[in-house]
Amino acid sequence: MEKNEEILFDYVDENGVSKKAEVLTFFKLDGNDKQYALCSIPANDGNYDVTAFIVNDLNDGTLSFDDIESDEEFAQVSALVNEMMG
Amino acid sequence: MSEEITKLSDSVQALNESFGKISNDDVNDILNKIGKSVEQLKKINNQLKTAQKEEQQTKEIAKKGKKFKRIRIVTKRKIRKIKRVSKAKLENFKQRLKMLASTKSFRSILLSAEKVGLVVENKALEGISNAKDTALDAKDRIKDIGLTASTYVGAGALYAKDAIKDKVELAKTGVGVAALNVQEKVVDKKNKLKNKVDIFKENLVDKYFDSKYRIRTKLSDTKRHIVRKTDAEIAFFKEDVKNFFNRAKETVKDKYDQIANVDDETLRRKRQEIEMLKQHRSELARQILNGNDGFEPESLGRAR
Repeated sequence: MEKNEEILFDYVDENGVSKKAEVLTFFKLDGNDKQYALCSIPANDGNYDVTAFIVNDLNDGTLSFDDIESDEEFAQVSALVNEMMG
Repeated sequence: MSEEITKLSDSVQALNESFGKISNDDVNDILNKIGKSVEQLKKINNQLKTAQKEEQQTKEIAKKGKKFKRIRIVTKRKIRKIKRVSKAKLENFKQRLKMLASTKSFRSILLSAEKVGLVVENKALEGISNAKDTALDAKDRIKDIGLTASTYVGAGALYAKDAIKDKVELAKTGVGVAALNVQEKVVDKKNKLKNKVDIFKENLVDKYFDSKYRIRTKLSDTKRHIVRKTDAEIAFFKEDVKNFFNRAKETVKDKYDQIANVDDETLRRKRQEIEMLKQHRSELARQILNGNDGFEPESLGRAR
């Protein structure tokens, strides 16, 4: 990630509203080889929801952000994010 | 002497045992600790290399991300949110991420690298400290054992030396005392023997002179007595002796005649009287022996 450069992508929420989501950073967890993306998504109240996805390079110019389905894995990611953001 | 030699032998034995213990246990302990430290350093080094590799991979993905034309979220359900933050907090966090990005690409890698670096540093320091402590501990123990052994040997040697010296002095004193005792006894015996000889000699001399004096005196007296006798006295003495013999001869002749002329009856009666006297004497002797003599001790004394 370079200075002052944002990685933005389009996100359509469950209500069908299109939003501009942003990749805040990529990170890794100890204990596995996965890459994670920390993202912020504008909420309807003016705040931002922070969440994370598993990153997959599809090698066709597309990055696929997958859900973290494992509760244990999600708990680890949440703990790390909370530590980072305070 | 055998007791001191035994004690000295025990000291040497204990010393050998001490050296034997440290040579096996301590050396193995030090080698094990050094080996563990080296293994830990290798492991940490590998972790560091892995972390550096992962950091590089993540950087490459980030670079790719900028070039990606499309990011697609694949989700089968509602996105799980970690937390909701205000715009200000989000902007603050983004600024912090940018500051971190100036030195490290990603916070997670930074944390990981810092963590690994600290662990490496701590492990290295710990390994060095452990090795140093172990070496110092071994050095101190060897030093202590050396000092103990030295003290032990020194004390044992001094003890043995003193003991030997004491024994020698004691032996010398004992020999000296024994020699003096023997010498005194010999001198004493010699003196006593000399005294006895002197006394014997003195007594012998005294007796000799006494005998000599007495013999001389007697001889002188005899000589004087003989000299004083006159021829007349000698003749009178001879006559007197002659008369005495003649009278004796007459008396013997008369007694012989009386015995020769005695009749049988008289002889028998005399014999009977003699026999009665013998019996009476025997009876008296028996009564005296039995303490039944009829006399009190005083009367017996008076009877005597």
